[in-house]
Amino acid sequence: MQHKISENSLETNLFRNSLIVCIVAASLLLLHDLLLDFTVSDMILEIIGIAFAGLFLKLSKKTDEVEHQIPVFLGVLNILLVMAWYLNKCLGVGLVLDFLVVHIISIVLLSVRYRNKYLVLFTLMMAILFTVEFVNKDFYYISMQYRMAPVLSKTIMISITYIITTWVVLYLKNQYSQTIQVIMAQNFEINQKNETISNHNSNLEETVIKRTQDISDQKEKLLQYAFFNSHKVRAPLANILGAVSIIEESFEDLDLDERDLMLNIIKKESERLDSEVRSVQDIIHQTSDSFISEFNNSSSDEK
Amino acid sequence: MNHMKITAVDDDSTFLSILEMMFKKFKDVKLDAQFFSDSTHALEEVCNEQPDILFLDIFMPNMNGWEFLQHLEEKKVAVKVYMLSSSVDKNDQNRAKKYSIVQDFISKPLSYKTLKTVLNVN
Repeated sequence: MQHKISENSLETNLFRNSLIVCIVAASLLLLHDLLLDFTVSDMILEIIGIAFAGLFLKLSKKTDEVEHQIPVFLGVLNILLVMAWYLNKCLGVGLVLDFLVVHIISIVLLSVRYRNKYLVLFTLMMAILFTVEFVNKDFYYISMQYRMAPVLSKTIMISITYIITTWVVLYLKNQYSQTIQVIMAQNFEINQKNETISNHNSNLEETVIKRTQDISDQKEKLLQYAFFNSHKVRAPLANILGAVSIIEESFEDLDLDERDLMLNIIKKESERLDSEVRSVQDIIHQTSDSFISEFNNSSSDEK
Repeated sequence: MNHMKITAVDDDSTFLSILEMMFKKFKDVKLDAQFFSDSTHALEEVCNEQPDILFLDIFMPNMNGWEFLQHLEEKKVAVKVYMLSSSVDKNDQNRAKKYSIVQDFISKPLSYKTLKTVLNVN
């Protein structure tokens, strides 16, 4: 959620920066007109045009492609300038040459993606221009003889402004895209970690139950081993020690049969002890129930 | 000469043979010993014969030593019981102490010295 807000904030900043760049460009245009001693009516109409262009930019805020806003802005600006020129042509003021140069530069600099759209816009404007010229039967303003020096300087100014504006906006957009990519990568990583944590949480209870069961199983095996040690291993050992004790205490009193019996007991119980020790490992892996059952069964068999 | 009735119950026939051999060493006391490897049959005999001393193993098939003691207490058989087991588990020793008729818990092997003490002979 927080990252989504940051993304919106970045987009707002990008739009604001673009708008500032456009306003600066428009201000330079106005300053230029003022220095070249344009008529007041020319300047008023350009202000109106720039205001409309800014309004258009504002309305096009929802447009995702910021790059798209610049040619549109310049196109609208120039349409309005043509209108200004038409309305003031009776005063002998025109913007034909700079109008042409600006648009040709725009077409050259624009990316392929927007060039066709801009060409359509430019063709439309040129149609308007020549229609007006044709209706008035006056092609004087297309001639380069008209106010050559101020027109060239203004053309250069507008071109530079346009180039700077375009590159600044593209730079900002590039920064914006990189930031978005970083945020998206971080979002992806966070989502993955969240998913991992979520999985761990969901498996936690299961893990605890399993480990508790493992511990219980280990304890059970230890108890089995203790049981086995007491009853399976110590039983033959105790019999061996018992037989040895009899031989030690009363060897002289034992007849030959009794001595043989004791020796046989020692031998048989030693073999039994060896067998039981060897089977310790197997018994450890058995469950308690099956082990006790086996123990009882084996005891029955021995009888 | 003293006369003493002794019964030993253990599913390990080898141990019973050893015990029988040890009894033979006591010349000064007449021991009337009975040996059972089947605890169920032994219970009937103990109830009927009422021996002075009973050596009783714990873990046996069909009826274990604890069940044997339970029956003796229910039938109020007056006999001195010595638990005789290869177990070295403290839990078994503590459990044996809870029965009033149990005199002691002896872990195998049974030595002559211990047997003399139990039989109260020199």
